[in-house]
Amino acid sequence: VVTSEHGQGARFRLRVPAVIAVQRALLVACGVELYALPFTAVIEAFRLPRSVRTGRVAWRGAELPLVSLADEVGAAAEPVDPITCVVVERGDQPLAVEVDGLAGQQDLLVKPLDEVFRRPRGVSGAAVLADGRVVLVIDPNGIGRDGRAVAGQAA
Amino acid sequence: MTDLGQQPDAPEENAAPPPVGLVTFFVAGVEYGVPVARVHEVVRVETITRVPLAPPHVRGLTTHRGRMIPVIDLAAVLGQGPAIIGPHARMVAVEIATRIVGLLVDRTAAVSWHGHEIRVLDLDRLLEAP
Repeated sequence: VVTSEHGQGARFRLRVPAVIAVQRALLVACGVELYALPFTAVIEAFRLPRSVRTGRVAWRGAELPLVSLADEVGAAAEPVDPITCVVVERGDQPLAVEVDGLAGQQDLLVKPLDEVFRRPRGVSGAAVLADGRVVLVIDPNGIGRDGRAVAGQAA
Repeated sequence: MTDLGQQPDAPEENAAPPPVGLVTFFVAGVEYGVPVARVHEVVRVETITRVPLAPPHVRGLTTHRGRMIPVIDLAAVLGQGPAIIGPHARMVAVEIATRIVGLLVDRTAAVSWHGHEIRVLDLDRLLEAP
C-alpha cells in the first residue's frame, strides 16, 4: 500500500507473510505433466526395467509397495522403459513411486490450492516453476492408500 | 479500468440505473458479458496445469502476473462444455471473492455499454456448483 501527500514524501507499507514456505522439491515427469515431490521425503531414486514392475519392488532387503504416480493423479502416461522409481518416506513404511523420469530439482514457493479444487488428498499444494509453469506438489502420505487416493477420475 | 460497473450510490438524477460497462465474449456461440470493473485483463491462454479430482468446470491452474490462479471453463459452467481451446480462445482474468480467477472463453467480442442482447454473468455466484 502506497500513500503519498504532496510535499510530504511517500509512505510504503508492505505486508510480508510471517512464514514463506519454500520447499526444495524433486521434479518428476509423468507423461507430459510434471509433479514435485518434497525433497525431505525423497530417500532414493533408481531405474528399473519395466518387466519387473509387479506392484512391489525389492529395496534394501525389504519389499516396498510400488505405486504409479500416473495412476494416482490420473495422468495419461505412455509406458516407458526403464521406469524410474523414487523411494519416498511415508508415515509407516517407505513407498516406491513409479514415474517416467526425473526432471531436476527446484526450490518452490508452495501455496495451498484454491477452494474451487476439491483438495485431492495426495496433493499438498502448487507452485510456480522458474519457467512459469505450475506444478502440483505431491504429499507422499496421501498416495498409495486404499486404491487410487488422489485420482478417481480418469477423464 | 474505472469502476463504471459498480457504483451503488452514484448520485443519479433519475432512477435509471447507471450504464454498466461490459466486457463481452462468446461462449458456445452466445454472447456473455461481465462488468468491466471486475476484469483485470484479457490474455491468451497459457499452459494450464490439470488438478486431479477437480470438478469438470475447473480446468486447472495457470499463472497470471506471477500469481497462480484457477482457470474456469465457462462453457462447462454454462452446460456447454468442455471448451475446446481454439486459436481465438482467451482467458478473461476477473476478480471473484478477493482473488483473481481466469475464465476461458471462445473469443472476446467488445467492451460495451449496451446491455441488451448480452447475458450478464453473475460473477459472485458463478463458482457455486453448477
